[in-house]
Amino acid sequence: MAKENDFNDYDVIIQRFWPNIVHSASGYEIRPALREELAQEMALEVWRGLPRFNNKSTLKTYIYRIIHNVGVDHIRRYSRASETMLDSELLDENSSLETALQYDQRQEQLALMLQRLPLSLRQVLMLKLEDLSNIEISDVLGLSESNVAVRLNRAKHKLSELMAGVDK
Amino acid sequence: MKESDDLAALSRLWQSKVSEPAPQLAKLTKKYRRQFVLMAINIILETSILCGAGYFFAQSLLGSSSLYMQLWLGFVSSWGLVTYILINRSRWKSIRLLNTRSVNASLTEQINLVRQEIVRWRLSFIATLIFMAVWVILFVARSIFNEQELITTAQVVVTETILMLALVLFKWREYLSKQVLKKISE
Repeated sequence: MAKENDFNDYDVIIQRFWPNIVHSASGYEIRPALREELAQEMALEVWRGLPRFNNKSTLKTYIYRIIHNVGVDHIRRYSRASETMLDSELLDENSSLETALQYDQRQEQLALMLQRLPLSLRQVLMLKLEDLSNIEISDVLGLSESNVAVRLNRAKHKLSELMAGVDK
Repeated sequence: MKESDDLAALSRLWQSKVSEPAPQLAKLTKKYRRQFVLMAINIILETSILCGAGYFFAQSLLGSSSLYMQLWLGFVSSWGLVTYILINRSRWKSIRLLNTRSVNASLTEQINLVRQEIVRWRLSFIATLIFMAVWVILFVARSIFNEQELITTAQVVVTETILMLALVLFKWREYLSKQVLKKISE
């Protein structure tokens, strides 16, 4: 647990969770500049939220709560990208098979496809991709475990449909 | 993706993402403070404008201003007051949003905030439309009764054009807010 006013501890925690923060930011923002900004903002909010951590949940789920709340807030404040824009970006990436095979391109494509999922499914899947258990996901999102399982199942189906569409 | 193996593969792909530059917390804290100061300045500015409009309205009621001027200032003051209250209520709720709550609980509040935003843009659109109508009626009435302080045609054209642009902006913002609502309600 982070100790109050122990800024070094907070910095260590931020560094530890930084890759997770970056992954989560990719699930909420596709535009690189804004994605970087969002990741930084998520880190700041985690840093500001750490002194309030009170052991009622695990540090991991507490941090993911903050990260995803900032993500939703980001959609509310900065959502300008239309579906058309996302479609055109996806088409551009599919135009070259060689490029599409590259690993980082596949990551980008996964992020794009996640963004095309409805938010309720996307959040569950993003947390699952971060290796959280269903119990942890239900704690982060404030849903029942059965609800998480249903959403996860739907998310997987929806994602496989999207991936099949890309593979054609 | 068919089975859990596929999900595990996707998970590996997802987690292997190349990291962005490390967080610069000191810089971010400064930015956060700057945003807070900017918001405070905005609130002070809006309050001053509203007080100014209210003062002129009170002056016109107490003084010997024409009925047209009183109507005009009364309309501007009440329009400004309604918009001011709605914007600041929304701001206050936005500030009080707790990031540490479960995502589902804060999502409900986020949805309410967007709904309020939509109402605000719609209200601004309707109010501006009424504003335009009042402006034209005043111009026509003054022309018919041949009053001394005539509003010139140029003044009417310029005002109506500006207000027309404002109408387009309000509609566009309402559309964007509806898109956001759709996105976060899914």
